[in-house]
Amino acid sequence: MQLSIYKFHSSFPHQEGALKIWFLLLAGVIGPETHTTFVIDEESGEIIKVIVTKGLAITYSFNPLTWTISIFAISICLLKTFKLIKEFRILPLWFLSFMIPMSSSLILEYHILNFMPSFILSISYVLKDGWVKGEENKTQKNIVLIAIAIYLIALMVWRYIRIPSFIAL
Amino acid sequence: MLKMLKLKRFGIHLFLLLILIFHIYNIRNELFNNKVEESWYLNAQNKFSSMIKSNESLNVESIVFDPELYALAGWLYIHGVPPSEFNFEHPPLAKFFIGFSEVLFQSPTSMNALFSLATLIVIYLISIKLFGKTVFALIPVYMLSLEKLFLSESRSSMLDIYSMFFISLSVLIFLYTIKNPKLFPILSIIVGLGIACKWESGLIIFAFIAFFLLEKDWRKLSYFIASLPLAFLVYTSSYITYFLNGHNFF
Repeated sequence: MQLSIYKFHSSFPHQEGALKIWFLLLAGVIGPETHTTFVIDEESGEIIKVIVTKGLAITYSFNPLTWTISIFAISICLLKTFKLIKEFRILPLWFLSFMIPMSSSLILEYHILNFMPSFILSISYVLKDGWVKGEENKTQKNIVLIAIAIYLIALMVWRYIRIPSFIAL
Repeated sequence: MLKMLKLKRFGIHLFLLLILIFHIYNIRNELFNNKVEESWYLNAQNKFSSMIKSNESLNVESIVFDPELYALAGWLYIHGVPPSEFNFEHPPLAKFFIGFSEVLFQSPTSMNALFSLATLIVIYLISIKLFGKTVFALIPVYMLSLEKLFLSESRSSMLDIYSMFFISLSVLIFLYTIKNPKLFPILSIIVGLGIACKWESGLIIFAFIAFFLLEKDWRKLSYFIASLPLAFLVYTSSYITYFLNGHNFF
């Protein structure tokens, strides 16, 4: 039965999904999509016009405030903590251990959930690092505090913003 | 000074409680009100059967979505149907959790909601381990509780919230294991539970191995690898109903 599970998962067209996870994570793009609109005459019931719109399908759960900056936060975390604080190494390794294998397979948005805490914790690390650096100067400290507050409020606001599921190109 | 420290810790716990209450408020319907009757499972089963039969002429009414499929799988597994008979594509543990939820709370989503709450607590514990007991330990919990993807997975009977929970828990245990190698068996058990929910969870093993390779800590790496058969054992145990029905592993 384990072989059946393996066969099921390997039956998906892997080439089609290559690097798809990166588009999904950084831009919320699921993939290209075509919308076809049929304009029907109400009296005769005949199709009088067909409008084909090409565009991109966007995931409803996309969050540019965390998903898009994930790679930057992970990179900063990687560079800053790799030699100094060994516990933090697990965050970029957690992210990469999922992203590298998933880069070559067909991925759906819910797969992001498995490594979401890694980039959320990395973003928090970047915020904390900014705060610690700002402590040397009072003005700088206030600026960092305001920036963090704005970011956290923006996250709350984004939670209630509905993004379109399709963007025409 | 001690009083100030106590007050600060009280403030952090209070904020954590507020975040958790806000999360419970967001998932209240799925936690308390999403009750389904037994007839729902029979209907879902009929719908699934008709979807299989009418594969060529698929219509909207006959489509079974993943949450329905897993809710039905959970119901069937908990009533003794072996995983090989229905929705064999993913390991059975997460569907057993959904099944328990259906029996205990008459709802396929209550357990998902509870696991999402547990995940937030695990993330808080990871944050404390990394950032210390500061306000910054609350930020990841706050951020995760606002993620639309996390919320939607908490609200539906999907499998990913379970794998996310076990991956996060394994990372938390791993952070303790760095200093206390006695915890390796527990780490492997949790990794095994994660894989028994979804195969993808096993990818976290690469992160742990890479960590020890970078550390050049061969002793801990060998301990970890030596404890991995436990993960396999846990994974195999999740197929208990399958074996009890007279099947073998392959």
